[in-house]
Amino acid sequence: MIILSLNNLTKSFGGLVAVAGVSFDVERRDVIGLIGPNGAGKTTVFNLITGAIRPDDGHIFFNGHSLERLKPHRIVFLGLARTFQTIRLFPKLSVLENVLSGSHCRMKSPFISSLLRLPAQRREEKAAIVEAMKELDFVGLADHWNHEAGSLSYGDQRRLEIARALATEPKLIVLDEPAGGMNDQETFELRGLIARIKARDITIILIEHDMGFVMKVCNKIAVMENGALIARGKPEEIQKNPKVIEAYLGVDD
Amino acid sequence: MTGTRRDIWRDISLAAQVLLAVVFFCAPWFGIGAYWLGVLNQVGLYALLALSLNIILGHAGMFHMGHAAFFAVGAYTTAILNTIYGWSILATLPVAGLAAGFFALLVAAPIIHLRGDYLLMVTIGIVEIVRIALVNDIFGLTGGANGIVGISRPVIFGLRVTKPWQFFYLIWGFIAVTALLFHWLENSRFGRALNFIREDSAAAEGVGVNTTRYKLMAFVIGAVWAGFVGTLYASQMRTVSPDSFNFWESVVMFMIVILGGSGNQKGVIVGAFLVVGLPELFRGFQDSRLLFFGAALVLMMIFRPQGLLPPKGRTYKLPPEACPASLGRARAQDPETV
Amino acid sequence: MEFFIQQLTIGLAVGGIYALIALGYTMVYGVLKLINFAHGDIFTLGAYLGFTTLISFGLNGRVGTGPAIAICLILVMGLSALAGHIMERAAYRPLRKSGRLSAVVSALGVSIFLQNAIMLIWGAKSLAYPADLLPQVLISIGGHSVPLIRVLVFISSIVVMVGLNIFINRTRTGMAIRASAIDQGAAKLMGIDVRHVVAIVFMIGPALGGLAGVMVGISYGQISFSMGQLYGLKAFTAAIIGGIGNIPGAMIGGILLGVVEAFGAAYVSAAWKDAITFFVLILILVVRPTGILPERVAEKL
Repeated sequence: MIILSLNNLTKSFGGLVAVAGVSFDVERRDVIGLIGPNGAGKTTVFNLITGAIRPDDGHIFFNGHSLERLKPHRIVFLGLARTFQTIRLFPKLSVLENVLSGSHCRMKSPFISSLLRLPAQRREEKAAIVEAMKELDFVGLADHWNHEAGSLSYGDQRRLEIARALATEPKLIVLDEPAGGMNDQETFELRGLIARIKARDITIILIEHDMGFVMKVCNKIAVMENGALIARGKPEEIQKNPKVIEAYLGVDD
Repeated sequence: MTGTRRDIWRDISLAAQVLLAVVFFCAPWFGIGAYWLGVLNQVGLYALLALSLNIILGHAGMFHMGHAAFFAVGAYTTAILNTIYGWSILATLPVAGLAAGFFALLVAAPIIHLRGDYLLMVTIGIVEIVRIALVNDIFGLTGGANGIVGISRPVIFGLRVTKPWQFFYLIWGFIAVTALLFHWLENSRFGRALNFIREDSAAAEGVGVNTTRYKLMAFVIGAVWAGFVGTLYASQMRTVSPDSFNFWESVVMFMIVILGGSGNQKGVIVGAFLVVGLPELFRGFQDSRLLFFGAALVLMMIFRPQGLLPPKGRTYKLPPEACPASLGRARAQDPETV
Repeated sequence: MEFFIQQLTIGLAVGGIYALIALGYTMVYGVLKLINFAHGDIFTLGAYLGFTTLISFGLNGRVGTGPAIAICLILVMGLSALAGHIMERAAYRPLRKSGRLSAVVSALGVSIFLQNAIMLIWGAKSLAYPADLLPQVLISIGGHSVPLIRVLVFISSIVVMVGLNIFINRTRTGMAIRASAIDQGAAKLMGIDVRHVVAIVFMIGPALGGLAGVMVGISYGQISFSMGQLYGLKAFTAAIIGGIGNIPGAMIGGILLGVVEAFGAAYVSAAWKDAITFFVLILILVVRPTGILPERVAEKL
């Protein structure tokens, strides 16, 4: 069942074409790896999907909704969450509060109820805290709940960002270089984390440069170069695809 | 053991603050005289304005230098309704707030997404446009450069508020109510959303927080309150003129929030005492006070950017089932994760 | 028609002044991405320094008018550059790593400090430049009589701007400035000493601002300690119109603003003139923040 569909997605900045007619479908429970050399347009595709920027042309369909005109917070509400390539946590707030920022969009108490701390709102808040702690436990950061987010190690911050994204109760999560800056041990643990996310029936698209990681974790791979999609398929096929090899290594003269 | 020591210290500090507040509220009884009561009233009005600006600048992190414009809208609304249409001051209070809030909505909606330094410039432009409009007697209602005179006094439960000590209780009572309401606001979901927006607006949007809506709400709430202060001011001064609502007034409010501790109400009130009250204590200081405060702003940013009293982080208590230990046990027992 | 020409020349003259001040904003912004709030007050400082140099030091009496003005200009530009340099070292450099918000507040603090320092030193009353400094004659251009001062002001602005343009485009330092404005990181990698560039920019910009201050004093006569606020805001508007960070844009934006403002005051309403300018500022920032001139560099997101 197709959960996300990109159709001829196009975006230019000034004279530079960043994304040129990209189309592909994502099925539920896929773990899709979006790879390509630097500047290929991968993060731009993510920015387009998550509503950070508007496409010049093309369509994005997610779970029956058309995303091109929606604001980012609305897209999150519809069930599409993201992490950022450069970590964008709230560094001065606590780890727990960072995750609670993800729960925010799922809380329904009206303004007055929240202002006066009515019982119903306090119950909802308590439930949100419990859920947030569960997400922290899920990524292995429960013990750090009261620490300042900025004081965490780089790898922990990445996991925190994932916990925050999970708190939004997404159906699809978009991870921009989740293994960036991680050592081998952390990368190995990340693979387990991704598998467990998939087990929760959440679809995953990720951008990564660590090829070993991508090949092991993803069941499908899409390759971009210069804004265009040049190959799609299973990891084994992609590894042997001559166009992909050329894109990364150049052509022998 | 350090936990208990910290608790004791906190209790002592709280008791001291309560004691200070009680003593302060008895000020008129200490025979400090009409002049100093007037000073305290001035401090109070600025504190109120700064508290309302604090929602926009301190909590939401938006660089707003046009707060005097909202203050002006409230004050002039009261002045016009009272002198031309004969409304009682108390009746004009909600209208003044609403007018200021509505004006803020109108004006903030197109500019809400602007980046910090650009927003700053735009808000300066707005306060100047308002001032010019007032001077040019817009709609024929504002009395031009001379403003409006002859505003009545407020009448509360049949008592006419005229003397400084009466205004003292009116203003500082209003501050107490404001502080309580804003304290609730800070701790509500709304307040939390503002914190996220202040820390990183794009990240907040990316986590599902409707940043535009919350920023606008912050602006409107701050403006409504500034409008209320306008009513208080108009009925205390009995005159309103464009000069009282210029860019420099905005600067003073801005300074109070930044120097006192943006995001911290107590800090803001302390800031009001410093910026408005201190020059009164050192008369010779009067003329050069802005010089001093300008330098203070620079030094503050270099050495203590959070302000004198930085905002305290929010503390959370974990319900038992959410403690890391309980979670670990639950996870171990969960068949799916084994 | 005569009226039109008069308004046009007024607009060009004041536009030249806006342009000079706007250049200060745009150069600093280009390199530091910071709006130097205190720039308008350097302009005021220049006007007052010019006054002191000309009047208090009796320069006017001792040497001929020509040399007096020349010395005055050089002195004021030098002192303004120094003031800008001190400002940068004391208030902005320590905050280089602290984030934009701190820098903005600090700039505000400097502006407040400077304005009040000027008030304390020279007094709160507005001062007047000697009215007979330059001959108050009219000269004939294309059959129209235009005040000589107005023409001189405009021509001086143009000369300075052309000079600046040559400096920016033809010298190595100018190139370093341009490179730093486009990408500081890349400039550093190319071996450009960005701190040096920042220091230079904080001397040229203020020097131009101070020059504009003297020119205002000479052409309009009256100076007050708060004049920098209004001029500063308008010059900022001009810089925005031309695209902030864009040097030729600041020049064009300044002249354009001056002319539009003059016509607005003459044909629409004089009392609302300033309000109209601010409204234009807001409008542009909301609708087209990159300025009304065509984009020169693709924005990187």
